[in-house]
Amino acid sequence: MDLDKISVEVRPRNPYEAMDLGFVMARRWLRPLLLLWLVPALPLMGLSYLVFHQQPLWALLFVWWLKPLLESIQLSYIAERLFDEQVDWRGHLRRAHRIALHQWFAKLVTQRLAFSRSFNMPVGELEGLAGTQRNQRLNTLHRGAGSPSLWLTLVGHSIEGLIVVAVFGGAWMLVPVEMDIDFSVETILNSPLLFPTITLAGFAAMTITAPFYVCAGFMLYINRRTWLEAWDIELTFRQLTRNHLARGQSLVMVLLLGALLAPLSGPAEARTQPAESRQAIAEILEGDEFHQLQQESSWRWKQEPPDPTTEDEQTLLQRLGEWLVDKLGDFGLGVDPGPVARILLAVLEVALWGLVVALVVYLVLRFRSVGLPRGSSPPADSPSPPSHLFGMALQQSSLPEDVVGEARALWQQQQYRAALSLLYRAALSFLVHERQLPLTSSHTEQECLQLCLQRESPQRGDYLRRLTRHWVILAYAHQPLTEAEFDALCADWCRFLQPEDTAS
Amino acid sequence: MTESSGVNSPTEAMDRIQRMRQEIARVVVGQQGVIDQVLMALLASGHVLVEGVPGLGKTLLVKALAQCFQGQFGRIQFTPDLMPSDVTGHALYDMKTEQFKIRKGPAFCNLLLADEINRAPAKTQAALLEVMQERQITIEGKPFPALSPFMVLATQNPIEQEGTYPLPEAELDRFMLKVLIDYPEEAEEQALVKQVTTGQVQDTLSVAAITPVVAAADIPRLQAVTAEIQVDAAVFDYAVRIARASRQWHSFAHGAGPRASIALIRTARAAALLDGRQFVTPDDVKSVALPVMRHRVALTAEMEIEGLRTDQALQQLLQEVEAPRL
Repeated sequence: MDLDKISVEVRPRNPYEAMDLGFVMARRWLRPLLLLWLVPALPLMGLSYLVFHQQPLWALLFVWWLKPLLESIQLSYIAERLFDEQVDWRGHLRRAHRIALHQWFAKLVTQRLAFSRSFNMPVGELEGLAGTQRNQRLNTLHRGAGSPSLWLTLVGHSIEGLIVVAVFGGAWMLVPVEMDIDFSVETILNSPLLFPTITLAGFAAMTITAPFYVCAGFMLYINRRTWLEAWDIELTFRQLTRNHLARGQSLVMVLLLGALLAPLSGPAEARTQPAESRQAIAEILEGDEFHQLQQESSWRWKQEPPDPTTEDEQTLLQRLGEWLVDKLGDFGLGVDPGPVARILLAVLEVALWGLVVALVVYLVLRFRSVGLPRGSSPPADSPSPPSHLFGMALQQSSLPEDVVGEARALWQQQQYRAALSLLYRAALSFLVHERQLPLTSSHTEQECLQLCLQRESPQRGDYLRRLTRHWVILAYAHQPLTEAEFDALCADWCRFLQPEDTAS
Repeated sequence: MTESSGVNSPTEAMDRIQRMRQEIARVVVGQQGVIDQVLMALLASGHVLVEGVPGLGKTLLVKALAQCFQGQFGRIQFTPDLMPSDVTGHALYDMKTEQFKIRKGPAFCNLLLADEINRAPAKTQAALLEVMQERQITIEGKPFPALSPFMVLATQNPIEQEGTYPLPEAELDRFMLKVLIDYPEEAEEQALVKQVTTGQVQDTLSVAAITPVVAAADIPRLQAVTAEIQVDAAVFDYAVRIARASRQWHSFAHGAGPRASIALIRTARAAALLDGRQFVTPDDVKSVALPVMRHRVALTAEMEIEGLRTDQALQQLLQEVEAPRL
């Protein structure tokens, strides 16, 4: 492996960038990669059809199981192709059986179902590691790219499934409605033609996804090593060295750079033994940098003596928890009383509290518009009575003690309007304050009357009707009422004020 | 034919109006509110925009109104290809006399029914503007006075809005009232069906049953009596405050102009006369506020999205405007 000949720009990428780069590589070298897959896979597929000719699903499964062997051929090709433009895929094809059968048992049995298969593959295939060494190496590599590699596998499987469904769906859409074919699972499984076709679609899906899956996993691996072994820095130094050599710089400079680069060369090899590394780490940890004391002060809760009631509650909760665990055990849920049960109970507690909070929030939002009575504020349906109505003061304090007497006195002084106004005002004030009639300033005379007729006794309504009629004629038609009419209004005033049971 | 008997006193006017009301109600079943509002517009010398689905007796109402004062009735069905001259009339060259003869259009009548007015383009709608406002019709540059009384009853269909030309604000403002005509109550509809199907071959009610109670020449007198109905300063103030409040009201994108205040008072006068009074109360103003204002205000987009209707917004407005202070 010669880093100088690497055909991609080496820089630390995030895992998804690295996978993107892998897809670009797969597209660039798609033809050789497909050939490297198809040349060994097609005979294999044919063979498996011969063996399992009655069960096409088994035939497909057989090839699917052998996928790691086929993919390792593609991997070896791109691994070399990345560092050497002159690599010929035919050479790999000739060596295919050797490449495929390298660590075949591990590939087909122990590592077959690994979720990060394409990411793990280079460790066995290219570094040649196996057993414990491989596992340690993978531990290191997985720290930065474990999750993306897992997602790569999951998405790859999903895309394979989608391709199969798409092929089947496309064919189904082309079938005329008139043919009325029953596409039940049973029909598909029993059809001598349909089912093998679908399995062939599955094979095609594997063929299409394999180059992308392998390349993306490989680039994840390369990227992880770039991070770990600083390939980009090494390449920069090499470039600098070359530039200086080209300019004929002094031998001292070259030696200096060479000395600098010496520990960086051979990136794939383990540079120090694990024991040495541990010792070095221990030495660093003992250094002054890790033993600097610093004083910090902050506010903390004092340790209160345990409250007996809390203890009771705790024991109650514990008992409830134990009971729950017992019950869960009874139901055969296999809950192990112990740490697992405690975690489950904690989760349950959080969920229940969340439910309570959600319920409270829901209730608050739901009944927000109801307008529950709060404190001393008046109920919504009885607004505070207006102090003025039609420009007239309605407060009881603004009215004289003897309304009728005062009105009669005004009448005598020929202030007819003021006299009737006083009566009308007093009547409305009585209705608003004593009878809680919800009058507002926008109510006209007739609306006040209608409200009174609806809510009050007929006698009271009748009186207000007379009073309103006279008042309206006086106010808007400027026609005064007769003295007899005024006297009748004054005479009936007391009956208007009487409580309802006696009034009626 | 009823001769012009000279309606002079308000009491006489009230009597005639009540008789007109009764006569129309004999034929137009179950639309008392609409009849009253149309009568108010006639008394206040205004025009009416009637909105309602087809088949609720709009034409019948106009015919009945025309019949009860023996007025001339004209009808124009507005269509997209209607020309302004189809409304007003045009000059025709007479070969014999070698002169231009004026052929007067259907607008020369007492009651003009402009059916589905929003189906005609703005140019034709505008032809109505002059006669509605100026009471005169210009043909070939020569003005002709419209008949007196003259009243336009335009109808529009609230459902089918496709292919219609919404009336421009200026024209809407010239209608004194916008009357909503709705389906009759069950009992009224039963009476209507009985009346239409008993002893009649056609589907429409005949207005022949209506006895003319006033002469067309009496109508201007009735209008004059209406204009003399007493209005207190506080009621003037109330009407103006309602119109002004609509201009600042949060639900309206634009409120009603001064024409609304004028129409409020004129219609309230007619309402008082219809109610048998010679003076206007704030209740009269409030009762006519919806038909007078509903076509003069426009809801804001937010309120329309919230599903608020113009009438609801106007009701809210009326609840906020203080009744007259004395």
